[in-house]
Amino acid sequence: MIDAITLLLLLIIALAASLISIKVGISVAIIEIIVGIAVGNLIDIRPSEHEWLVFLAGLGSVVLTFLAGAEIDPDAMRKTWKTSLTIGVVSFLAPFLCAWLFAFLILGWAWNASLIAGIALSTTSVAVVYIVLVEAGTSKTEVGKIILASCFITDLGTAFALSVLFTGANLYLIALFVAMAVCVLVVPRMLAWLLPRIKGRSGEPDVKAILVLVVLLGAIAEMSGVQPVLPAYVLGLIVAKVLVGNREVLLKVRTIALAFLTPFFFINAGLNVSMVAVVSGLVLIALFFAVKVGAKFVGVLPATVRLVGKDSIYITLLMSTGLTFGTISAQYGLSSGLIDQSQFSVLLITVILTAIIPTIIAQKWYNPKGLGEES
Amino acid sequence: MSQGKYEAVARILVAIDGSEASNKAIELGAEMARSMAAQLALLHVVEIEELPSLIAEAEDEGQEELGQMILGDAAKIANVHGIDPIIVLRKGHPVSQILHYAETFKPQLIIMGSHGRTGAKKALLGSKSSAVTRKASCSVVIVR
Repeated sequence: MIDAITLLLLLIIALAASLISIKVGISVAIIEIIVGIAVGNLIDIRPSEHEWLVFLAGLGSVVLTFLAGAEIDPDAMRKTWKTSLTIGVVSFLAPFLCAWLFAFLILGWAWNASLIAGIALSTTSVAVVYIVLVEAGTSKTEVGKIILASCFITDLGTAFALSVLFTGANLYLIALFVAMAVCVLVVPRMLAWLLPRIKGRSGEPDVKAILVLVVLLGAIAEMSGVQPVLPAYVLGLIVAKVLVGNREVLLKVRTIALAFLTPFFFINAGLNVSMVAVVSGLVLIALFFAVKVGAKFVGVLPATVRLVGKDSIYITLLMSTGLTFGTISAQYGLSSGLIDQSQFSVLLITVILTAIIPTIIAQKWYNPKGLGEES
Repeated sequence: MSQGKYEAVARILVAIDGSEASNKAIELGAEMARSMAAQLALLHVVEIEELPSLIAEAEDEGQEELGQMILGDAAKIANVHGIDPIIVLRKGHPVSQILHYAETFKPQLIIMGSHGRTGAKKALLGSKSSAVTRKASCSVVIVR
């Protein structure tokens, strides 16, 4: 009965967050985290005491990662891959190395906790970047496509690091990479053949087929001790093109995820934040923020100046944003016992700030005067 | 003041959102465009969520379709007044998109409907029409 009440409370929070989000025009994910923080610090809800919540939040992060991968434009990626690969790799490596070394050498965090800090702050928020590009009217330009493709590369680096850095070599790991390679070769063709034949049929076999693939790779990842975000993200990337032609299937998966899985993930993240740790760690948050954005500037700015040639500060600021993968990384660190609640609180608040502050600066002072998208 | 100080109204921009006040704004804009032989542009901005976790979270296709319907209905109102308007759909923050489009269309007049927000709601959310009034480089008419 207590769990039913907790579930009800979380669903009310999720509904309220959606309504607030519509009213204020800010992402429901951020509202869910903020409301989660408020509720978690006012009422004594401990996510670890509710196994189903931890499970749903974990599944939510995996499906969210899959959906993030499925949002790529494969044709744009193919056209801009050389430039995007360079910017994307630098955009991952520079903040990862700087935040990791800062946490390990300066702050004296444990080895694995430092790695989590590096990974959580290495990310770029594809969705935040995309929205800023749409508002600036540059999402369909060459520069816009390069930026977006670079963001996907950066997040691929994050997913890769999160999945392999905490795992020792084992047979299941080989099985996972074989399964991913098979997926790359087989799944797009299989889905291209299967989905038109089963979509829209009663029993939703199309949605179940997608979920089977996500959970199949997740299960192999779990057996090999790997965080399942890498296989989920890669799966999303390789089925993106097939799903463009089967949009209703993607929409159904999205509906399930955004209505019933991702709210638990983001609210759970908020519930785990300790306001006491945030207040006492304000200086630390500011330092982590400076390290992340500073490292992005050191790494990405020269690359964009050389490879893109214009709007370099704007691009660098956008590449400094982070939200989904940063939250996933920090949450993984906490649930795996690699970081404690104080470290999680500091990292999560830093991640949220990196979604907000660089976006505002980029839009206010460095927005390219491109033409808006009209129809 | 002499009449020569004022630029002739050759272009009128009406920013619309499908509300009743917005429909009145279209009627006024179309009437003025007809009497002054001016060009009329109808602009609707599909608001997108800031800081989303997924692109899909902000790419609300339903809102885009709704926007097209609002513009279609608005064009019919203008047609009744004998005006064939320019139709523009944009995505983003309404105030910045209205100002952004005004930079390229260069209207002498922007007309908008008022939502009539009051009290705390106005304090919290602000008013799009007052923000456009403050920042636009041309005259702005708010229709109630």
